[in-house]
Amino acid sequence: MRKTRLISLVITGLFVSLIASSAVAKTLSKQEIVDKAKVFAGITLNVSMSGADIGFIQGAVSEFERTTGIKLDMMAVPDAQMYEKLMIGFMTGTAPYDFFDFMHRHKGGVAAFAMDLTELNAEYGFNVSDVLPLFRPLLYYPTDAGSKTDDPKIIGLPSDGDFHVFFWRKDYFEVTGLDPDTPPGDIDQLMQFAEQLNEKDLNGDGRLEYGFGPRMSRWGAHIGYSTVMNAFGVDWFYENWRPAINSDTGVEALQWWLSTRKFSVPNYQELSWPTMYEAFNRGDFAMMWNFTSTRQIPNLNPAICGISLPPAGPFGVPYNMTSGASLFAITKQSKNPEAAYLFLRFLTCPEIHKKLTLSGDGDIGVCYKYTLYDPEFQAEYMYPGSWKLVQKVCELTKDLVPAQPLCIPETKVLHEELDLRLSEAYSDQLTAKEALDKAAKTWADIMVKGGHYNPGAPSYDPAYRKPDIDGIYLK
Amino acid sequence: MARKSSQWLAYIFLLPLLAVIGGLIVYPLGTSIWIAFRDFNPMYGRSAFVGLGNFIQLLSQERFVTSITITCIFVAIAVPAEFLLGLGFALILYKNIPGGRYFRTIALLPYVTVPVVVALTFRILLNYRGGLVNYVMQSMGISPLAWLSHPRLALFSVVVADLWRWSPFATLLLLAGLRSIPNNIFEAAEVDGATAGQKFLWVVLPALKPTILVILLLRMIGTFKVFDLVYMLTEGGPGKATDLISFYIFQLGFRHWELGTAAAASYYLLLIILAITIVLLKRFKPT
Repeated sequence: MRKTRLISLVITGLFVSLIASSAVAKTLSKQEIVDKAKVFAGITLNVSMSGADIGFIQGAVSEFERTTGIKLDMMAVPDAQMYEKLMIGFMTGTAPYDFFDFMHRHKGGVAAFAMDLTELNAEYGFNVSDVLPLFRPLLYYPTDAGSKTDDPKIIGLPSDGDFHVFFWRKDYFEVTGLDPDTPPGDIDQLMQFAEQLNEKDLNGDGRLEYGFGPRMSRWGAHIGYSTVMNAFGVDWFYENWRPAINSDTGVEALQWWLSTRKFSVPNYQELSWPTMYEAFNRGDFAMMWNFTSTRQIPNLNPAICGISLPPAGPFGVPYNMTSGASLFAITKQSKNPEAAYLFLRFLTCPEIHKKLTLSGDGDIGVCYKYTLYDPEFQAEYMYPGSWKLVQKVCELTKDLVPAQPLCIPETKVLHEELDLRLSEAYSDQLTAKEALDKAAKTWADIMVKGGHYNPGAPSYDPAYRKPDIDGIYLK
Repeated sequence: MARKSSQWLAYIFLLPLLAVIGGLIVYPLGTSIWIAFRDFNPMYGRSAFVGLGNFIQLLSQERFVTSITITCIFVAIAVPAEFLLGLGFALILYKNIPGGRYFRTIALLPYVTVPVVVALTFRILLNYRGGLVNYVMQSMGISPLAWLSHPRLALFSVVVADLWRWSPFATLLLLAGLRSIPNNIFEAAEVDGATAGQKFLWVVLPALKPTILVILLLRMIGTFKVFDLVYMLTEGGPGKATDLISFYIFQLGFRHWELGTAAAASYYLLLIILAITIVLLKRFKPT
């Protein structure tokens, strides 16, 4: 009897482990990808890539060419013009690319031209669960705030993931009597700290330093502001696609954001995200929130700079996903989609992704589990303990609801209109309410042209909800 | 017979030029006119004929009207300033000062500098905390200014950058104009007892009239089209302070994909430039 029970236990155990191992395929290693790609030796792939990335990624490109025999014709596109160049090429049918990278916030526009990778992922054993939970929605279109659908497609794999975090100068905190290891927990405390730190010579250089550095340059103004929206729980639209940015809470959010200017450097409207890093590092102001940047953060002195989650607003801690996260994709018209896909997998495989993320040059943020939990990676990642911050953010997304970035074809136009109106508010050309009302009016006109108010058009899928797709966050 | 065949030969030799003109000028011009009368958005596949709809719609758009206004202000300040500065440098260089030849070369360097480099250089110079301009001001006890963040100062900064780049162009043309004035006219004026000021007003300026017309026309057209400086220095901000019409058309056409409206806006710009050109030509008509 005992022997029978023991045998059945062993068989059950074997059966369970067999099921478990087949449920999640092992991630392909670099060598496995290279071996699969060798069958395509001799072909040429046309690759469009951000100019900022192309230099540092050259090592990986050369290795892929050398080991597979596939030639890569690389075309560098400046970041600021990436969207225009890609879209002009796609719309006119002149884009020769097999492979391209794009910023997540442009997904609404490029999605129509990107191949659905669901089948290739299944064929080559890509596990969505390898992507860190915070960045999993990046893969799909549409699942971000936008039109509801039961049939989302995977249109890319993440190449870079980042989110807004909070930075503070511990040395300045200490000089003014604040605890250097405790950042403000909420936006009220942020204002108190900013007032205490403002317009003082905090480093003895004879010049005044300031409490806070808000991101208020016109280009990308919506990016800095969307963190504020998130903190106040302001959505982009109501369910019927009427703009919600100028709701009472929306106006309150912008008014609060405008009030931070009184503790800010006078040239706050010049501050784009990289110049904010430079100014912060130089010591111009004591606090800021900004993207996690593997290129910029290593320039900070960890002895005097702290990083944490942004302070909570009335709605909670903001997780801003309207950020610079990027994806690799294959074009629908590619004549060599499998070869292009294997190049994509090569760039995102454990060995290469770790190398690219650690190099810091290309500003590639960690977005895969196999990288984040690699001990070597943890030992070296951009800033002491910063990998723990990424881990914490990913864990918290299981319980809290981050704002989904807007991802519809009109996204770029809507964002630019909001950038303009926010910039007018930042320079006191308009009040907060006037700016948001004007933006909302233009948004409504844009949505009319996009057919979103037509009978039968899908309703708006709100930014503050867990996506309907099973497993995006929870697995 | 021989005359006819040589005529045909002439047309054959003209064909390549006509092909280039047709392909690079006539066809795009015709297409842009066609687009201007359509609700043309390739992103959504819209291409419906709307007649004057785009033109009428633009007049009711606050941003279009504002950008035209700001551009006109920019042109009204920049063009005369470039001319006056250019004239000043030309008069200095006209005199044979020691080292004038080298100074002439250096003075022309801004004109040959790539516009993007000019914009980036000024962005660094005018930086609030680290820029040379504020550094010098602070060392003189003057408070620093937010050159690129303050709405009024931002437009002024773009004017200065444009001035720096294009004054040498005016200098070059005016210097050539000055050198072409025959000496005997100056001698005659001296014989008549004209002072330096009178010589300048009644001899130099009238003689330079054709050159002045060319400078004003070319700079007026160029300044109305300024894009690179705005794109690199301020991106149209802060707010709408430097939202010049060319930047607005670029955004409309290549970011919003409203190509029909963008084409209509560019034809409005063309009409404004044509109107000013006609006024200038009439004003500077030789008597």
